[in-house]
Amino acid sequence: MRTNRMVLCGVLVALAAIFSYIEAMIPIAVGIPGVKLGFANIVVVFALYKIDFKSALAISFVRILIMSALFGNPTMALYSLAGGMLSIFVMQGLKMTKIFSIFGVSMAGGVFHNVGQVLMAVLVMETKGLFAYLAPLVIIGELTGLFIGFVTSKALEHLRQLRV
Amino acid sequence: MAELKLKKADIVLAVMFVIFAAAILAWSVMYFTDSGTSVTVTARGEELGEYSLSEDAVVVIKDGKIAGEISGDELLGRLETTDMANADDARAMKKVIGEYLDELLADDQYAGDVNVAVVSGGKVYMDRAGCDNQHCVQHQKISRGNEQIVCLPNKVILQIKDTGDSEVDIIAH
Repeated sequence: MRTNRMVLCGVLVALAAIFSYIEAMIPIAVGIPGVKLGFANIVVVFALYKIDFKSALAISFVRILIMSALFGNPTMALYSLAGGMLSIFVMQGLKMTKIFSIFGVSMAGGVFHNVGQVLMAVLVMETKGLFAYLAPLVIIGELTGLFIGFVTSKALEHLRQLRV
Repeated sequence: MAELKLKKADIVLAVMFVIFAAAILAWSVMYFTDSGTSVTVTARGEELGEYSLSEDAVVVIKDGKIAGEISGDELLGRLETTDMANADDARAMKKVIGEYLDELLADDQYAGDVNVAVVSGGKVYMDRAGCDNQHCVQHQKISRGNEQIVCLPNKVILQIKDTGDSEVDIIAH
């Protein structure tokens, strides 16, 4: 079972990286920095529900490192990690309360991914004005989170027999 | 798995987020004041200069320092572009700034760490930049107190200085 799980995690990291890459090719001209669909989070939420928190955390972390090393730079890694880590910790917290469904959890994931990034930007640039971006980014995070939740719930349903 | 179905708690959470976003919006409406008279240019954490909004100018920032600055009048006059009747004409500005950059930086103007800030007609915008995402260039022109254009990759901030006629508290620099 352990090997099976490890292989699955490896596959999921690769999948998350591919999602990330494809998404980067879709230009989103909204004029607000940091607007993304976050497809790669489908994999993270999937792992969170299908496997466990540790695996999801590892997948998220490794995926961000790989993408930053291959296509970005240390600064990109900093902002992505800030958003990604805050997001997954909040999601796990909400999931553990058992009050919310996967939709609420991934909506919060989307929101806090953006919150994390804005927070890091404010800290690095030492300027409060950037908080203003949170107004549209929270809404966008919610919507993308909803979409992620929907897709992941379908994936979980269809892959119910997957042994992990 | 019951957790795959939408619950009431999810909707409550969604609404709470919307309220949060509205609160941020309300804060930003108050935070961005009408009493802005100058713009400060900061790069890599250090304030490089302050420019009045009432005088047109172009400031070139490279490698965290001011590489060159030129006033609007001087720019137009020096380059003798008499076919431009109106300095606010966007394309004319682009061309004139391009010529200035050729003079100032030659091929270096295409380096990643270049930002070109423009003060024109009481507003500030980023004419061009060497960063990947170009968010700073796409940003709309700013003019209200505390408003800012940030280039995260190059660590450049253009911020309208609030003269403090409003009740906003200290801004951390």
